[in-house]
Amino acid sequence: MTLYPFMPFKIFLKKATGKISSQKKYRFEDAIRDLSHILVRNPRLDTLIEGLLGYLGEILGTEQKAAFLQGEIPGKFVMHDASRFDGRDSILTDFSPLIRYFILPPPSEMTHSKEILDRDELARECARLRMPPEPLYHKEALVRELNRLGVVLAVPIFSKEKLLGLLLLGEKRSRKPFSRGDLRFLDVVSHEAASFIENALNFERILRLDEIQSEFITVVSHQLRTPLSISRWNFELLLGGTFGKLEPKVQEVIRYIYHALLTLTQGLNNFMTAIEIETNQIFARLQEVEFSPDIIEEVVAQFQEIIKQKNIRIEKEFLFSGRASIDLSKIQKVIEVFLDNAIRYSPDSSTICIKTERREEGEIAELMVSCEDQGVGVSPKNRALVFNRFFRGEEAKKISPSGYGLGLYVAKAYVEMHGGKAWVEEKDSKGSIFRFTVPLKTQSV
Amino acid sequence: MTVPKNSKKILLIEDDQKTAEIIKFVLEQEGYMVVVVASGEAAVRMLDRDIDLIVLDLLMPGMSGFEVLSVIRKDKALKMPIVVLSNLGKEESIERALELGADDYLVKSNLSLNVITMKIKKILEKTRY
Repeated sequence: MTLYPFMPFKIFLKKATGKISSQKKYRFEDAIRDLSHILVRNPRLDTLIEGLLGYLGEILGTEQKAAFLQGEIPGKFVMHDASRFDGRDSILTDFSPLIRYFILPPPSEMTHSKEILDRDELARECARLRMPPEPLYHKEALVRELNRLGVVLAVPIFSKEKLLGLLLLGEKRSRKPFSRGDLRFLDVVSHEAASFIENALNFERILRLDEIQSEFITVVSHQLRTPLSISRWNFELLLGGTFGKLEPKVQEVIRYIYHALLTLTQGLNNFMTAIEIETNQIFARLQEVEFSPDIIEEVVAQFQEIIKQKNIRIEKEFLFSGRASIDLSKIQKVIEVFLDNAIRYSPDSSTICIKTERREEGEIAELMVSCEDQGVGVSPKNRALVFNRFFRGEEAKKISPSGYGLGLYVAKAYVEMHGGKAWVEEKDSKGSIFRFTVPLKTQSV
Repeated sequence: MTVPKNSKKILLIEDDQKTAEIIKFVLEQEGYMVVVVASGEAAVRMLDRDIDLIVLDLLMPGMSGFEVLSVIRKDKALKMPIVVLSNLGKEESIERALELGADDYLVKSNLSLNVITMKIKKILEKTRY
């Protein structure tokens, strides 16, 4: 078994080690300083190990080197290096004598070794004792293992009592043995590198978790949305009379299920959007559009069924005409949230007024959209809180206990992505006025 | 449903049979002629025909909707409007589809049938390519 030579070194490392290589000797302090640079500048595991092993190779004159680090599965140490062992040894398990040496204390001792393992020293010890008694048997197995791997030194990397991995070094190019100075340097390396390697391992785990989470969200949201959309549309066809006239009682039940389904769907969609907002994965794609009444009409059409059921009158006052630089689907979502709340918390046969107008805020021209209802209203103490994530006022809970408190949070985030503002206003009579503004010309923020 | 002879022709690319049935039904109610294909591969074979608008799902076995978009816009350089109708609601999917040349991106579960038809109708009305 051989360890293959390391790949060409990074420019930085060449600069850092050039002086040392040309002198064929290194000053201990310089080596430690250069080592610190490598450790600090490489937060990712692959580049950290590549840099570290490359540096050790340069400084000690060793071509054969590799690192085995604790993988995701406990007890499995995975090779991390640009050079390669053959496939058989890309993983070392805790059955390997080499790993066992560091994780299990020898039978005669209380603690396991954290010292660098020197194959030649170990072989000399075995030879000195000739026929090794039982407690030393594992040392012979260990020498065989090191020979098989082509490893002369195994440098353990411990974090407290936990073995994070091993740096393995082969023969020096000069065939000279490793000196006491080399071993002292490697001892410092093993201590200095431990926290950096541990951080890099944790960083990789977090990135992996992030990937899994993102994949999970995509799959779950898609898989949940598909039956929800099919059911929703089928109920719409049923309620629209496509399959014939429904008995009043049946219609009432279907309508109830339909609205429960819409609440569930909205909750799921808002929840997914909230995750994207929290992780900064969502932004406004601004395009100049003609802000025509159609934009509002499309949103109102979404609520056709419940507007009819509650006999709500929708008044529209389109005072704004012209172009606006907006992300249309997001602005429609904001209006949808406002209108959904207005309908949900308004009594039957009441009126909701949607108004668009132009407003000048200093030198900035804005589009302002308002949604005024005659519903339950928002108490003064809750006005600043209603846009908070998961917040639901007592008034709202009484009327609709099943809300998620995410709609207004998403709406406000969408408005702010446009550089605008969203708020709720005091009203003289019963009800509330929700408003938002977006600059007519702006850059995404 | 009898479809007028001069009606606009819509290609619906959707692997979920139930979804395809419903969307085809409501679009035909609006007077459009709807051809349904259940895969991206089958859709690509249909592209040479006279199509006024494409309604495209994204997650399909085999060729994805993104790949279909790429074939239509890049390989074949076709300009007919494409409305993505998918349940993939993540921003990165929307961004990718729009970058590949989709004209609109509709998340199925977000929209009622009447809004979907309104949006398709609006795109067809304003598009002359």
